[in-house]
Amino acid sequence: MNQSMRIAFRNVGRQKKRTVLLAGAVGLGFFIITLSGSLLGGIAASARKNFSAAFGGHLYFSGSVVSDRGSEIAVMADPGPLESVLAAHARDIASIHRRSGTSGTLIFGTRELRQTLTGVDFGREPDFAGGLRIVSGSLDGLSEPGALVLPEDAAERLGVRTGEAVLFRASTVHGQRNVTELVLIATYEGQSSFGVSAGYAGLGTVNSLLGLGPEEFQTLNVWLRDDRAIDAAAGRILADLAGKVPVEPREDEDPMKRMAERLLGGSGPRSVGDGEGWEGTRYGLTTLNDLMAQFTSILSIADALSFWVFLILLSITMVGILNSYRMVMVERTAEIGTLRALGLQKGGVRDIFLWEALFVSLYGALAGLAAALAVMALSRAAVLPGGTVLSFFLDSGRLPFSVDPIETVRNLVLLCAASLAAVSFPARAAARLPPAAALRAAY
Amino acid sequence: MAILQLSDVHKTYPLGKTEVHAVRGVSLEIQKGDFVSIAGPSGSGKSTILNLIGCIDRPSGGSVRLGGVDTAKLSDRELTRLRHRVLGFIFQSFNLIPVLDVYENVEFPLLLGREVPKPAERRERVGRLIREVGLETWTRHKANELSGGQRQRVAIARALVTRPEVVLADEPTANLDSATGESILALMQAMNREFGTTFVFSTHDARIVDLADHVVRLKDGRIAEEFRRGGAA
Amino acid sequence: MRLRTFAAAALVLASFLRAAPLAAQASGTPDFKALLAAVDGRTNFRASDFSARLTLVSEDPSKGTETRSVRVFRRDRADTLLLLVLKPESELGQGYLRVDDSLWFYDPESRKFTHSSVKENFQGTDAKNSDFGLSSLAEDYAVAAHGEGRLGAHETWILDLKARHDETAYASRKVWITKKDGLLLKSEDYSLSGRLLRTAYYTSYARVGSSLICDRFTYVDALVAGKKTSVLMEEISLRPVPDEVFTKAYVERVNR
Ligand SMILES: Nc1ncnc2c1ncn2[C@@H]1O[C@H](COP(=O)(O)OP(=O)(O)O)[C@@H](O)[C@H]1O
Ligand SMILES: [Mg+2]
Repeated sequence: MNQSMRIAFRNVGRQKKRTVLLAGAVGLGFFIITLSGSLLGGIAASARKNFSAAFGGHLYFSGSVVSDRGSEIAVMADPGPLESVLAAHARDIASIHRRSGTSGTLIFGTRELRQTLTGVDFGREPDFAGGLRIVSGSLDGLSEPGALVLPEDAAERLGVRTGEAVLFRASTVHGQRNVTELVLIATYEGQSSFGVSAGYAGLGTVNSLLGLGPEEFQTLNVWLRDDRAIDAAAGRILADLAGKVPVEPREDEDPMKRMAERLLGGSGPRSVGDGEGWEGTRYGLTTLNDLMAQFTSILSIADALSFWVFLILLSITMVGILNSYRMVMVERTAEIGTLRALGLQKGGVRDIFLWEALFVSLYGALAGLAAALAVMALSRAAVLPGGTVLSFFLDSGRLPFSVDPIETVRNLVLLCAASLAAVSFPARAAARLPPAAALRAAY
Repeated sequence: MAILQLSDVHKTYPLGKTEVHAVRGVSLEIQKGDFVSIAGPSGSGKSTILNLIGCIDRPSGGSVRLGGVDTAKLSDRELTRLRHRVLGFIFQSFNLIPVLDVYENVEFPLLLGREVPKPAERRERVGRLIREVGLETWTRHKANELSGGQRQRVAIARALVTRPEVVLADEPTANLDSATGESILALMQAMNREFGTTFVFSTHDARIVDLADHVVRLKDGRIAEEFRRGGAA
Repeated sequence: MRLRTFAAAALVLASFLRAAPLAAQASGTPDFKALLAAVDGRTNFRASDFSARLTLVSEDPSKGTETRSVRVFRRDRADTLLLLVLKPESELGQGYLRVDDSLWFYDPESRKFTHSSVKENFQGTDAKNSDFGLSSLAEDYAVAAHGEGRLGAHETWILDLKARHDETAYASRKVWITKKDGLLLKSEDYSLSGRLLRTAYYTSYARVGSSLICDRFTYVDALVAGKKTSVLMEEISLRPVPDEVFTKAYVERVNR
């Protein structure tokens, strides 16, 4: 073992109070960055999971055709080319679902409520029921025509109970007004504000409301195997589609608005401008990342902010390390002279300081990490009240934490580098002490 | 053959705007195996001379030759290596490494060189020296658990572990009571006889000077008197 | 949002003003298509400008009753329109200006115009594209069946209208048109699923110049019991409106 390292290792325990203070400061910084980084990472992951569940997938392919009268009609008239391209990307894809959907007004007695309604092909999606956390009623009659499942808060606001009939008013894909009677069979734990949590009904039911045939649909929702690879997969699939079929340009539009228009519909078709038209089905793609872009950017701001806090704490700690080791140098001058007389080179003296700061930082980081993990474990015990938008960012009502090992290692490396940089000044000063003068210092 | 040669060595220290002339033209030869005392009152330049011999300081004038090498031409790195290879040190305040125990303190210099002896050889050498200085029951104790005399014994073992040609001891007994001081010096003398190691120690205690076979008496940075005793080489 | 909702509703109403009468056909079974075309023709003032002050009273069982007042300027031949809110006080000065296929909403608080395309739909309202276009009963609907009956004191034709294409606002309608003057008195508007969505009553006509214009009408929501909107139109004028009225500068200035 390196002699400098050994002495440094022992030196850490020499001035316990100082070590505890320095390591504590380092640990606090590491605790904060680990906790906040893990929380933000966890929130991002939870949001991705919860929003993809609410929107029903990661990629939402919409189709539209131009009507005789020049309106853009939201229907996947010819899914063939898209389906064959998706088949070629089967390795990325976990499952594909056919959906129709609209946004309209629920009417119960004299109460009205805006609500999105998604048509699900329950026959082809036997797993669907398992994904909802039912609050009241049951999903037994799910495949009955007119059966409706609503987010609990929407049912509450309308004052409707399971077994009761409600009206749903919306427009057909052509823009004609329509209304249908639905029977609420169940409510689930969801959040209907902002149109995030949809009501669910059979695909046929929604289609007839939209003026579509029973087997038609509007979107193909794709679940990917890896929800972190959404953009990559979207890019590859779009690249394969482009050239073969008309594809809607993705860049220029506000994705939230496009989502509202194309997927949630509810307000009738848009007129296609002169020279803007296309033949057959034009495909559009919206991704979960598009929809979450705003949220993601808020998260990354928070992430950057907590990183800055970490850097500030780090620089304060570095000043502490710098000053502490200046003092250490003075206290141990005679010892340094002794080591030099015994044959330790300048570099050896410097290394003792470097190692010592490194050990203190590692101890601190380890303590900070342990504290952060402990807090995370403790927070698992606390279940926050559900039924708010907040629950979309939680993991089953709990604060979601997800420790990113790469980020943790990055922070650790950063921390160690900063400590080494800070201690390098007193370390070099100690190395440069002339041995004779150092030895003359009182031991 | 002279293991140590000082010729017309001067050392001045800056002191404010003036200088302190601590050593003023000392010429000296020390033979291999000598048991040398550098004697003189406080401030006479003993420590300065020892530092110059020990290559932990450089002369302002004149030359110091150690084992035939002119130390003036060496870099800090080379001087450090020379110290490690040729010299052993004993200090007035013992200067043990506080975080190491007795065994580790003695072993420490062995681990610093470019060629570190094998563990078995290290164990053998360290163990033998610890026995020689009579501390075999104290090997796992730290310096602060030892008495002054015990600490200086550890220092002697540490100074000898690399089998140096010269051991330098700056007032090794000054912080000890006289009985302990005498036993320490007796131990040094025994080592000198046993291993043939050259010892150079400074002191201002006349009784201890008597134990040396080569005495150099300093006064105001100059040699006031130098003599060898009883047919020594 | 509420403001825009209101303005959009007012737009709908403004276009329904276009339902106004013309001379009736002779006895026997008239040419119903011509009858509808006449209804369309009289609601679209292609020959002159149009202005009026509207008072809207909306009754909603959950929101209560709200009264609003709006001034309307129309120039149908150029497809331009200006709505200025007069009441309530809190919305005074808001304006909706349609020029060159663009729809601008003016908010006096921020003193800014926000743009939205005419093709777009208004969030939170049932307003349809077709509501903003010119009335086109004759073009959009075919008469599937006809009958006769009295409506109050009036002898009327009762026509079942079926949409000729699927982009009309309503899949079918039932309209009551007076035999004597060809005035639209009542309309029942049905969803694609065949359910009655609302009933419109055109209860009073005023003579303006040589034509009769409906100045009092009520929409009764058929899905939400007790929900209805009544509109009273006063100060109707077919005199030319100065060109500068249909400009942003005017909207900004008039509110100061
Ligand atoms: N680093 C120094 N700076 C200034 N003066 C010094 C320094 N070291 C020693 N001296 C002076 O040099 C003289 C000799 O000192 P030293 O060699 O320590 O004597 P001794 O060891 O015999 O007591 C003394 O006057 C001392 O004050
Ligand atoms: Mg001295």
